[in-house]
Amino acid sequence: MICTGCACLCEDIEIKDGRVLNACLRGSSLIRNLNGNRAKARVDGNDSTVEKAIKTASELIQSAESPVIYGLDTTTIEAQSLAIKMAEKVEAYLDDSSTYCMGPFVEMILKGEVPSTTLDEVREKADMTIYWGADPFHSHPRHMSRFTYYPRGKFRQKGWEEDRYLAVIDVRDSHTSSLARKKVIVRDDDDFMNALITLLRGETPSAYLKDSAELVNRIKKSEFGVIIGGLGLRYGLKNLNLLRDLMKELNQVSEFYFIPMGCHPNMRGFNETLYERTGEINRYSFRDGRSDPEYSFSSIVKSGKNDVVVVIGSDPVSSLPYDISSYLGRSKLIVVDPRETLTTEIADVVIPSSYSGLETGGTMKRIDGVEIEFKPEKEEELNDVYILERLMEGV
Amino acid sequence: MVVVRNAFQMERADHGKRDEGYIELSSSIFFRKEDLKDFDLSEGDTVEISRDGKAIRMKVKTDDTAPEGGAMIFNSIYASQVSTMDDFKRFNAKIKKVEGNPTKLDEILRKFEKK
Repeated sequence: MICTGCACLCEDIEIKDGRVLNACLRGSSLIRNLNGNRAKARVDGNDSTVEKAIKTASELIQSAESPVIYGLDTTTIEAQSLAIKMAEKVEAYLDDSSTYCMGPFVEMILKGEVPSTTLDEVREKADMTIYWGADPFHSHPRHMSRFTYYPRGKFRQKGWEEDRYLAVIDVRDSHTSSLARKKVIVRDDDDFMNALITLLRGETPSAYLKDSAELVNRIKKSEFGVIIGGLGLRYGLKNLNLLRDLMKELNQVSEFYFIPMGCHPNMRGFNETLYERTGEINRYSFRDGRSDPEYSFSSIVKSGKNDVVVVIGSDPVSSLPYDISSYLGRSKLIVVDPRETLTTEIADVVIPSSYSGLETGGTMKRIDGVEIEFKPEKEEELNDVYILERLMEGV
Repeated sequence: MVVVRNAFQMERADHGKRDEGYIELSSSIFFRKEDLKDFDLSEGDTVEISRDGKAIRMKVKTDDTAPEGGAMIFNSIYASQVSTMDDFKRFNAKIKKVEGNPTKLDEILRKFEKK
């Protein structure tokens, strides 16, 4: 079984005698609780049949002048492709959570502006891992044991004890930083990144001299390094050009890569699927044929340009700032999700689905862009692909 | 104030976002033990976190992974009441001790009712 608890997509999960083996706290919890808290079909707050919910949703989308489709990071590439087709057909705005998450980093990687690699390469070769604004102990609990720090790699047989060096850069102590050889507490990510670039260019930085010098000395001794950038870096780093410059300088003294720490199981799949279709990774308007910050889910919803919102596998009422989510109730809201969420509570139409990957097959892209195929033992017929096909029939 | 992910809170989310354990963790604000005195707070106090006319009440707890001189909350609808798109993960807010309990989930959701 492959876990969809986070974007690591761990492929070694086993169920024996009702016990979930090999999974982390998050993964085992997701799998153990699959049957609980399932979404029920509803229309206008009243229980409904799935058929009626799909029909009502289809009619709403069909009559919409300005629909917006959002979410899709927990579903398969097959479902994402259908959602993109539907968005094209009805000239919808289309966005996912990468706009507020790893989008800018993934875009830099897809455009070849920042070198990236796979986690399998990291496991076999990396002697230096830097988590920056990331706390995998909580967000991706097996990230360090499967890929970066603890495994015996092909070229790192002595593992974390001798062959690997772990550094953590963050605004606070974390459970991950407590395991690191070197931790740096930063107030300003731009300043620290600037300090590293300055030192790598052979000059003296004006801030963070001690910490940056220690880290650069270690970097120069490494053969294969990786920076894993999390949400802390995404929101802490104001000038993204600094990341391009840092990666360039790092590769003058060593071999260094960048991997974004996306949380949703198939956010990377959405970005790459939309990129193949449009050359853009998110916040796309099929009416205007381009991507723009003003087409982000938050901007569209706040501007009131939309009359129907379709949320697939996401809970924006919980995850987005109230400044944005408070506008969700102002237009018709359709939610497709396997479970009840705070967003299903305020939705006009709820269409229950199955858990992509766990209850229905397909493909997803791991955090590092590696394609993973899902073949669950049992296939639920009511899944995102089926629902999107039905919605497409109506429009 | 920093907003972080926490595996134990996310584990409770799989029981539903109305799960008591999930709500308790989501409506908690964490300080370093040594910082509590500076904020004139004690573990178990209720505080109001406010900024730009928005406010939420949370329960004070201690954790040694909270930022020095600041506070930590977990990613949830509680954090979303005071965060903004521009500073999703790290922002300044006012914290004041108040009477009563943390804001109830239904109190927050009432704000979403269609008018």
